Amino acid sequence: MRTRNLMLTIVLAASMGLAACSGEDYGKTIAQGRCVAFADGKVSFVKDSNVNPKMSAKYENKVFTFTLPSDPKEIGPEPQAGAFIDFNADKKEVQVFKDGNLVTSPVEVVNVEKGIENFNSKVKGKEFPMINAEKKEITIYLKKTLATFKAPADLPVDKAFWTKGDDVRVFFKEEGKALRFMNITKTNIFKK
Amino acid sequence: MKRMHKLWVWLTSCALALVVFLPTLALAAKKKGANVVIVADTRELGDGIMAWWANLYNESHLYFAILTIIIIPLTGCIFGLLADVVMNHIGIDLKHREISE
Amino acid sequence: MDWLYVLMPISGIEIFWPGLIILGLGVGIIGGFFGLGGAWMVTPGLNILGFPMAFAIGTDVAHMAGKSLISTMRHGKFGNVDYKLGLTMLIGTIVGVEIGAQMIMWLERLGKVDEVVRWLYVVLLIALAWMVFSDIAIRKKKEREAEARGETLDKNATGIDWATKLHAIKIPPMVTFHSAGITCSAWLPIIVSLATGWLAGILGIGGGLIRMPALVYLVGCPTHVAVGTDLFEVAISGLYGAASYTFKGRTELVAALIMLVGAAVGAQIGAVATKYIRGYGIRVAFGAAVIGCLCSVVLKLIQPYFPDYAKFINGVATVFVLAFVTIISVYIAMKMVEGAKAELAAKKQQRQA
Repeated sequence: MRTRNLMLTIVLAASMGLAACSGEDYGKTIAQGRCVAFADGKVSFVKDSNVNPKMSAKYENKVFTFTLPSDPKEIGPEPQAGAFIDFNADKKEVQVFKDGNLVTSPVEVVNVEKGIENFNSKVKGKEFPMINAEKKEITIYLKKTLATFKAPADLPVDKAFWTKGDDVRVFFKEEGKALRFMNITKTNIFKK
Repeated sequence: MKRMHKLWVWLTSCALALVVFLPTLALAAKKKGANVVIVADTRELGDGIMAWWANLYNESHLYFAILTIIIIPLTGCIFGLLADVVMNHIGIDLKHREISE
Repeated sequence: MDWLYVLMPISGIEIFWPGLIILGLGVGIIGGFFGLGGAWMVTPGLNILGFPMAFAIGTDVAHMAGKSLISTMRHGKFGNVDYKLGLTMLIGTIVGVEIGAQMIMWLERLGKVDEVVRWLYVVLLIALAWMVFSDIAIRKKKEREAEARGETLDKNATGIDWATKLHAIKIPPMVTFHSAGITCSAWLPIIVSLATGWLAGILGIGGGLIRMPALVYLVGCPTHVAVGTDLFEVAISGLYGAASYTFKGRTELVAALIMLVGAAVGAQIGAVATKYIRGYGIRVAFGAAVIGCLCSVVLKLIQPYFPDYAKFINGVATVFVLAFVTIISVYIAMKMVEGAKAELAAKKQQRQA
């Protein structure tokens, strides 16, 4: 009899806990994207609308700006910001963040090598992007692709511009105020 | 009756251990400061239990921890009782064994 | 074959769920049989399944708490759990682990102690293996001597007997632990648990591997009671560990529950198998487990000395641990099935008679 009572108490406590938690309107609000600006505790990023972890990111022309949480325990490593968003070797185009917008520009590709692992001597220990100001060439390493292309005429040829921003994810309830901030690029969940 | 007594001893000791340990939890978390902050991506999970669970994770690690430590022993008890039924059905004696080195 | 993969809601990684069940089953059998948590066996398995390592320990301890609870329930029914002893030791364990953990943090501030601690673990495991196997050898010798005299050795006789000497130290309060069948000073289990807890805290391990032999050789518990009582403590410390890691956001409960499905079956097999195996049978297998753990730790430790072969050595370590888990768990499961078959056959015969 007492066993039954005990079990019932546990089940009741568990269900009350569940009810208490589910009763609230849980945020269900996640935003993810590539960081384009980070200063004074505020992070801005271009929206990544892809939700399937097996697929590549899909950036949209929408910029989110969030204030980082006040609790430092809820903030991951500080993000690196950059205007360079993505490179498509097949379409020979780049996506960059320029004048507050996501812009797609065709590029003249000089060289492309796919399937380059991060331990390959071609990329290991090297810092990207590499800028050849003389030839106006940019070398980037992104998604196992090592590529060199000529910078489009309307885009600057400087390292800061062609630096890739970190991928970030925030949890929020109120627009513009992050409750937790994750730096996806700098958080290796597979590392022991 | 004896079994219940043991179960109570068990649960009391669990509660005691948690009371003793819990204040050190936050402290330990602060000390290590590994800065591994994870936001669960709930966008793909829809509205099911998985989405609810991941949302709870994002919402509060405390609630998430409390529910975990309720669910784990509860599941253990259920599996244990189920096994009792199965083994009794098979006919294995679950109450006696001979102590022998 | 997508149905064979389940999405982990927190990390967003898809995991081969039958792998989790098999892993849970293997370590469940071993845990239920020896009274261990077995984190050193779970981590390489999770790594092979592509499990995110940031969640590995939290998920492991969460499932460990559940499986140890199941094993404790089963051992408790056999009378293998001395709750009074377990609770007495819990005090020492809590204080010991805290002192150990604080001490290691203090040492870390002074300098790099990681490697020293790991080598200390190796020394400890060698000492444990030596103790277990020399105990077995002494008991065998006693058996042979008794045989030569034409006698049969007492079924509860042991090889190494330090406990009797420790029981003779009568510092009040004296306590009798009925299930373990021992009367000693209450300070004995408290000091032993303080020391094992301190070691576990220093080494950053669960401590089952140290506590189980300490219960046998220092406190003087019969092997079966040591296993059951140790599991009682593993369950409580596992629950604490699960709370701690989950509070830090490092547990994938879905994976822990899937592992628990396998571990629930395994824990039953392991716990029931102890019924059909003599105490020294458990001690031999425990000695083998200590050597298994020792090899895996040494293989990890030598990696920095051979950087060119680090990946290969890591692979060897993983294969070794998983092969070890498979062999030992299959052996225990076979013993359980054999024992159960014999018991059922005997019962059938009785009924027919």
